[in-house]
Amino acid sequence: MMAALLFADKLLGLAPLVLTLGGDVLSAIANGRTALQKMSSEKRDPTDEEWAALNATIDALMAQLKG
Amino acid sequence: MSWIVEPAESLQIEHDQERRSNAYALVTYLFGLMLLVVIGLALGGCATTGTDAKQTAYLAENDFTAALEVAVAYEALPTCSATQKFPCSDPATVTKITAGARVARASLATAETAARHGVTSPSLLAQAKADIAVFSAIAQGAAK
Repeated sequence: MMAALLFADKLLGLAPLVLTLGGDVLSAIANGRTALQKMSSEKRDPTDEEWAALNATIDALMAQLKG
Repeated sequence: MSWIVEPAESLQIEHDQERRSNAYALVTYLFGLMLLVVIGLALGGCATTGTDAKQTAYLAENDFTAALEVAVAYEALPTCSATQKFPCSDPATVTKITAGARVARASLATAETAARHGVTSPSLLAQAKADIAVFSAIAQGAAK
């Protein structure tokens, strides 16, 4: 019984992480599509600044990988 | 061998099954998010012009960041050990995920450079998308 409660507590503790992560992933995907639609409507390609911002985000995430 | 399951033992089995089921559901959810990335890549279309190539590369890189967020979250979990069970990250899987991410990153960088220099190369973009899909599949495999 105690083990079950501890496990449930662990799961509940993870809930914010799961919700935040799910939101982050979905918004990252949606933001990319929104940005692309904007570029299409403005009939332009990604600017150097937009490429730089995207690459900086990727580099920051890659730096967090441990393996 | 006895085929009679004692009540206490039966409860323990049920608890273990529920625990495995909950753990599986949570980790599957995390890596199910990777599926969205793969679907996004599939819907990304094929580049036929310079502008298409740039936008396709941009979109692929954006989807890669979403996949990386899930990978980083997995790797940030405590390392699995005899005392640290779920939730935890398996060191062998962490190594594979990171290696897959580096391959995908290199392919994307090549595709981006080509696209930004006006080179329309569907094969480079296809390779980058394939490497992201492999990376996502490795992470999804961690849930099994």
